[in-house]
Formats: sequence, C-alpha cells, structure tokens
Amino acid sequence: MILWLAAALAAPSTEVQMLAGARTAPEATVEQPSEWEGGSRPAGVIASIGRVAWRGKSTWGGVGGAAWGTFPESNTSLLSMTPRGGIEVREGALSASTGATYDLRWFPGQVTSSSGRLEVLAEVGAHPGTSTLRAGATAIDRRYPRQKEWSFSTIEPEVGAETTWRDVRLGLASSMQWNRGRTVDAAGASALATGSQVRGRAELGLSKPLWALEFSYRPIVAFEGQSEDAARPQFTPVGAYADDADALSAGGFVQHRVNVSMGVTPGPWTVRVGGLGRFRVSSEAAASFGRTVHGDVMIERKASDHLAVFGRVGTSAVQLANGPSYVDSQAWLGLRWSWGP
Amino acid sequence: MAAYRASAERVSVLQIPTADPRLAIVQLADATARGVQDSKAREEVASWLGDPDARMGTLRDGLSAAHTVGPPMSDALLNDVRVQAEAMRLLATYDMAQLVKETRQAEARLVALNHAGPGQNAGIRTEFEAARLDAAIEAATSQVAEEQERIRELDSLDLPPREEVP
Repeated sequence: MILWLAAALAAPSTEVQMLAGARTAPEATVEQPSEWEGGSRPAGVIASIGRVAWRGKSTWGGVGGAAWGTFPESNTSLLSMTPRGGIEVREGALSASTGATYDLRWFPGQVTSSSGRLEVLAEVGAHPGTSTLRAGATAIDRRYPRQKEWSFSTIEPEVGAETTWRDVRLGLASSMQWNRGRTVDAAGASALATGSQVRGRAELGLSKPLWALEFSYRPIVAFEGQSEDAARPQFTPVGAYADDADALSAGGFVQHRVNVSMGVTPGPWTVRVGGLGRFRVSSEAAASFGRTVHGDVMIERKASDHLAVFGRVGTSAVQLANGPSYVDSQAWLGLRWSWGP
Repeated sequence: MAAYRASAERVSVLQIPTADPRLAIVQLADATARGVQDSKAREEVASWLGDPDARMGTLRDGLSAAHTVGPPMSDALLNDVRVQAEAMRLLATYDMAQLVKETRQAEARLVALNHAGPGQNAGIRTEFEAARLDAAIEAATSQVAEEQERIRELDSLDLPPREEVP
C-alpha cells in the first residue's frame, strides 16, 4: 500500500484496487496446477492491485502490480509486477510502433510456478482515411526459473486491416506463429518441442456514446509441438483469459474461440459484461484443454471523483481433451481509487 | 468601416471558396439538434468561416465599425456580424457535441476492452489500443475546452438582440 501511495505522488495517473471475495478453484490461477484434477477447495481471496501510468506525445508506459492472498490455504498467493512501455511515431498516414511488457509472477507458496514473461511488439501501419493496414510481429518469451521445462517462446508475424464506418469497426488479421516448448521424451528426459500455428482474427466493434460492444473470432490451426499445454492456466488471477494457454501447439489442434464483451457507462455507473467460448479438437489425446466457457459481469459505481465501489462475479468452466474438468467461480467486492487524468 | 472591410478581405483570401453557406448552416443546425453527424455541412460552414481566430478579429472590427456609422449601415453591419457569430457558435457547438460523443465512445470501448481497471495483464496490442484511446480522450477533452473558450469569446462580443438593433 505504501508503494502505491508513493507511486501515486510521482505518477501522472494512478489506480489502486483493494478487493475481497472468494473463488471455488483457486488452483486454476496457478501456472502449473499439477493436481487440479483431484478437485479444488474454495478459498477466500484478498488482493491489492495497482497501476501507475504516464503518456507522452508518442510514448506510453507504466507499471502494474498485484498482491493476491488466498486463505485458509495460501499456496496460490501471488505477487506480481508488470512494467510496460511503448512508442508510436506517426508521420502523415504512416506509423511505426514498438513496445514491450514484462510480467513477473512470484508464488511464495509454490515457487516452482513463478515465472517471468516478456512480450515485444514491433509494427508499421498505413492509415488511409478511416482504415488502417498493419504489419508487424509479436514475440513472447516465458521463463520458469525453477521449472525450465515449462518455459516457452513464440514469435508471430501478423498482417491486418481495420476499417471504421460511422460507429462500426471491422478488423481482420492473419498470422503465422512458431512456438518452442519442452516435452518429455520416451526415455523420460526433457526435450525441445517446436510447433507452428496458422492464426486468424476477425473483430467487430460497435461504439455508441454510452456503450461499446466488441466481438472477436480467433481460429487457430496448430501443427506439431508435442508439449503438453494443459498445465498452463486458462485465466489470469483477475479472471481474464490468458492467451498463453494457446501458445503451444500441443501435438496439433484446430481451435475456435469467440470473445464477446460489452462496456456500458451510464452516468456514475460502469458495467462490463464479458463472455468467451473456446472449442479445440486435438490431434493427440494429450492433456490439452478441449473446451472453455467463461462469463463475467463487473459493476462499478463512482462514489466521488477519485473513489469507486465495484463488484464482480464470474465463472469459468474448463474441460480437458481427455475428460476431466473443473469450474472456477469467483465473486468479490472492492474499492478503487484513482488519481490523475 | 475600412478596418472591417480590410479584415474581412484578409479572411476571405484565406477561405476556400464555397457556395452560399446558408443551406449548410441550416443542415448543420439540424444535425446538431438531432445529435447526428453531417461532415459535409460542417466542412462547408468551416470553410466559409475560415480561420476562427482571424474571423473573431473580423467580427470585433465589424462591431467597432457599426458604432462609427449610423443606420441603415450600422444595422447591416450588425446583421452581417451576427450571421457570422451565430455560424461560429453553431460550428463550435456541433464540434463539441461530436467530441463529447467520441470521448464517451472511447471510454465505453476502454471498458469493453477490459482495460478500465488495473491488473488485467492485457496483451501488448490491447495496451497500444488503450494508449491510443487514452490519447484520443485527452485530445478531445482539450479540444472541447477550446470550443468552450470560443463560445465564451463569442458571448463577450455582446451583440444586441435582433429586435433591439437601432
């Protein structure tokens, strides 16, 4: 808390959240919930989450952090730190941008699950009229210092186009992704496993003064890469879908994923509704997540210029390709303070 | 009078030639009242008015000139100034409404992108999009303040109401 207060004094824009609630399957947030098939015990959650941010004429940056505590068992308690920054230069109808985020997660009660994740983006764009054409690449490198075989790297060149007509935004993108993880060979030794994926993304957005709707469909066709990826959690501690769950090719699969989210901002209220459906047909009966369904609702009300009260409920249901499943439901109430623009 | 003419000529040199702006003014007023976009009418009115700062100077010169001549010349001058001032106010009001709409759209989209609170660990593309939306909100907010200042300037001209024109 002292850290956030100190940062609030120095940074142009600061937010701090304090929340308390419960979730039914806290292990689902751990990077390698190796025993989650055996069931999960509900736990109480308390957390302090913060973000400081600044923005210049063509640059942005900041750092986020969180302290999550679970009780009575504390093995999924988490400390995280996420610095981030980017630069976007625009000259006429052309732009170039590059940026990076680093996500450091430390589980004091389960150090083997701790990891550092670097994501880098470099992109050029052309902006004729109300359209945008983009070409770039994203690279991700995630390292688990205590479990090197869980580490992985990906690189993903992408081309995309986006156009806006009145309040409607339509985007299409296509990418090729190469990934490298680890697998256990026949002799029981750890071995490198490389795979590739062809990815697509279709997005439709509708924005009105009081609400916005975002819809996306993301198909993936994955090849090779024998790494089992089921140990990687599907959701972040705040309940957002973790794209890393799709990073490895896991022996090959075809996946369809649909996201729908809506933001509504009537007066002092803010409502966000999110939904996700994901279906994967795997080439191998590996421990790969087969189906995922998720929904959440967050309602926030401003109490003053700097303080807001919020509540969130969400449920995620996940089933492995070879049968087992779990449901993780979350509910919490919190306060959010914000300073700056 | 000479100052007003000279000022008006200076502004007109900078203007993009346009047809009679009256229809565009009516269309823009209609769009503003209905809260809808009419980019064509907006551009026509803006082109007719030219640079806002230069036009404000012209209006002040016109008012000064109206006080140095008697009717019916002063009536005509005041009417001329009033038409331009009302068009400027309409343009500022329309622009403000559009900017406020854009700001609210961007705010709602930030919420939909799940970027309205900390701790979301969004992908870097979402971070870039959020930074763009933040920048757009800040630019629009600052532009709204400029338009409000423009309306205050127009109010400070203290034009007599139509029926009170001597």
